[in-house]
Amino acid sequence: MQRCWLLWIEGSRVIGRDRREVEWMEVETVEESERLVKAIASGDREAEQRLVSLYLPKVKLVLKARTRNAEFASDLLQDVMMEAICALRSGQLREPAKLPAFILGIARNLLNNHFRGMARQPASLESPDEVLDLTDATEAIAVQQEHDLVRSAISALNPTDQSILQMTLAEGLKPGVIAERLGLNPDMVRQRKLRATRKLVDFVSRLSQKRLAAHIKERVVS
Amino acid sequence: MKICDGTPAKRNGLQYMEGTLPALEADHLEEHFFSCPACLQVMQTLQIVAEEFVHMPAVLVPAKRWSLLAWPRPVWSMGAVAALLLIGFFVHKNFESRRSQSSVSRNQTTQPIHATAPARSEAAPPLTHATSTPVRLSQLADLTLPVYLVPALRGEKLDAHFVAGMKEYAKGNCGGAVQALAQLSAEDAEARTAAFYEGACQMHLGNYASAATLLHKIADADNAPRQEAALYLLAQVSLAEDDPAAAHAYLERTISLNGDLQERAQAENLRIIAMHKKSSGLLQQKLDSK
Repeated sequence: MQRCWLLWIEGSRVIGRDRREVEWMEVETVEESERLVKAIASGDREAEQRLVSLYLPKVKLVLKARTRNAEFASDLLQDVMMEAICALRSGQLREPAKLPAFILGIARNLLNNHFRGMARQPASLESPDEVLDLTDATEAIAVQQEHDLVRSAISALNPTDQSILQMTLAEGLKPGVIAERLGLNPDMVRQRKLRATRKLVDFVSRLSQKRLAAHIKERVVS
Repeated sequence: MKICDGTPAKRNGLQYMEGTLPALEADHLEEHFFSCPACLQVMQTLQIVAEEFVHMPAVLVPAKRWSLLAWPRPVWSMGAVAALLLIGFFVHKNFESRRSQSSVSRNQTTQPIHATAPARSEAAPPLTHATSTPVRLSQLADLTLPVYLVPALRGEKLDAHFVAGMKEYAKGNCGGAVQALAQLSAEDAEARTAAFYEGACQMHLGNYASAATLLHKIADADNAPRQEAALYLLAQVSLAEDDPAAAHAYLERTISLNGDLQERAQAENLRIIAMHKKSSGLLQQKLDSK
């Protein structure tokens, strides 16, 4: 039970940030990788679902960042997860501890194929007959909550910092250009950008930690 | 077991999201956050931040225009002192040149005409010879130490070695600064800043190879703070080593960043080209060969 609290996961999103939790998670990842690989190879469908919930957010992040197209990233996400499961079912991964690198490799290969204009069809492999449901209701709620947190964190930022981050992330402008627009020094823009990013991350982290504490308290009381 | 608190993602995450992180570093970051929950969390937050900004209405911040009247009093007083010093310098220079001219004319009038010819050949070399001596490129190198401004960021704790190193740097003690800054680990948040100032110190001390290695760490990292200054210093190192082609290339890169050093780099670049056009076609040859 205590472990469950320490590793409270919602749609594979780690909510707590205590250092002990991080350590627990890392130990769990290596052990779980080995267990998952063996279970999937022996035909365990629940293990497949667990693999998806563990790796889906990571793969999604890479695909979104690299393609800069949410729609295309979600199409590719299906392909990556299916290809990974097919490969694991047929026992293609010899070193289970390398599961994270294996899945990242598949994602990069599919991305490269796409960028080369010869996207491979995972249908050529043995397609899973029971198609995995990648849409997770709890994940959607968690994402919505995270968006709300981020919005409140952004509104707490100084307008100049907001403007710098917006020009960087939405318009893709370089610090030199932003500096010119805002009448600032480019070094100052770089520094403020870094500082604002850290502020946002810390703010979101603090808020979600508070939510975690409230959630645990609620559970203990109930 | 090594515990990560999300520092790698906080340091490089934004560049990764922007797509400006060098490919190798991006690969390392991906491999890291695939097995590090703390960094994964930071990256997910950053991705949501990026999405939010894309959908947010534009934040309008009026451009800050520098107004002389808005400057604080110390700036005014320091400016006045600087102006007085400049005026004093020019007055002194003018006075000195008039005095030397009058002494030359006095000498010329006292000496008999027939004595002028042998005197010119045996005495000190004539002025025209001194001015026509070609200035070496290494003399153009500006090896002065760049100014370090202490960041006034609330809540940020700086590494003790970094603070010690920068104190030595502020005193102008390059040896001490290098010794202290070299103790910072590459993982430290201030590692790049330390590399930059350590590079500047090595340049100041005449250790050009070490200076170039350190400065390259900043100059080759996309969008890094002080990238422009690092490129400019690399140009100075190349000049000090009599390598005009390399200096020209670094200055071109400095100019392309459109930063504070753009004008200075442009002027220096033109000077290098002009000097070499005058003396020989060496620069062109070197540039062609590159």
